Amino acid sequence: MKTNDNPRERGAPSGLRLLSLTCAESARLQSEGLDRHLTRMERMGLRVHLLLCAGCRRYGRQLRLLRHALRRFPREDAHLPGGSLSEEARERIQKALRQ
Amino acid sequence: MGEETRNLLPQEPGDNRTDPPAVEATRWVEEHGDILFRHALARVRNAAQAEDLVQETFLAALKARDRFAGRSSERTWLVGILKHKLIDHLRKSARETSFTDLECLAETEASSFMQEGLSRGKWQAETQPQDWHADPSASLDREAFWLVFRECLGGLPARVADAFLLREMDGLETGDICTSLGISPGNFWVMLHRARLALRRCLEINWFAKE
Repeated sequence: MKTNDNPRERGAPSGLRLLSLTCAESARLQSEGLDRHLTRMERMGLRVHLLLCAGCRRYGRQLRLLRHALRRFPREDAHLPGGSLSEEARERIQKALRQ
Repeated sequence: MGEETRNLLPQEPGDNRTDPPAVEATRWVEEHGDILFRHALARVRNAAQAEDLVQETFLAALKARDRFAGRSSERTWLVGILKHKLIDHLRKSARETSFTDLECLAETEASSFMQEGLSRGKWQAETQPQDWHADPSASLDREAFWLVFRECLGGLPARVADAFLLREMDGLETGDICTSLGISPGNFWVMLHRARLALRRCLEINWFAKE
């Protein structure tokens, strides 16, 4: 498996380039910010871009809503109409548990 | 909820937890079988595998039932066991298949942004995030929203969804997930990013733009 943890190797911006991010780069950084600590330069670059870009500000808000919804989903899903164990499966499991 | 109330009561003889194992197991399957099955099905998308996971969960619970302290509800306890079984399952299946799904959503990312010219890297006009109402979180109280949400989640490529949901639903950290699934953090973050782009777009098209 090719590793590309080094931001340069995976084509991510670094250094002064961080001060002129494109929407594509800033979207990726906003996402990574949910999963790792961004460097100070990355945070600064992102702030500059977000100041100027309404689309990316909206994207950030939507990502946070998405995360909130995902945490809540299992609870909601349990109440939705949906699959249940078939009679066969239920009996098979009951039998396995009695052994 | 029933389970919670029961656990607030003093434990007395005749309490469920003192039932013989077979009786207890029967009750578990009746009370929690469907919920566990749906939890599992949402993640493995294959009824037979989901059934196996439910069975393994109950078997493990039966062995460990002395350790169930009653601090959490019985269901929470069982769901916790299922989570471990699920991670084991994903780890094994990650070894069996190679991680090619990274490319699956590459198209989603590429088509979200301009690819050429001076505007390279800007949002495409038709995929640029739109305003989602004044209070989009109000949607979270509507059952219809969750049906759409479930559809959109189901549309993610299986391997991407595995990694994405370990992070977002189970709240595991990058390092743990990468070790389990045998992927590099760099690839993992790219997958998450693409999954979020795809999910966002699906919700916008099928819910927020329609409402």
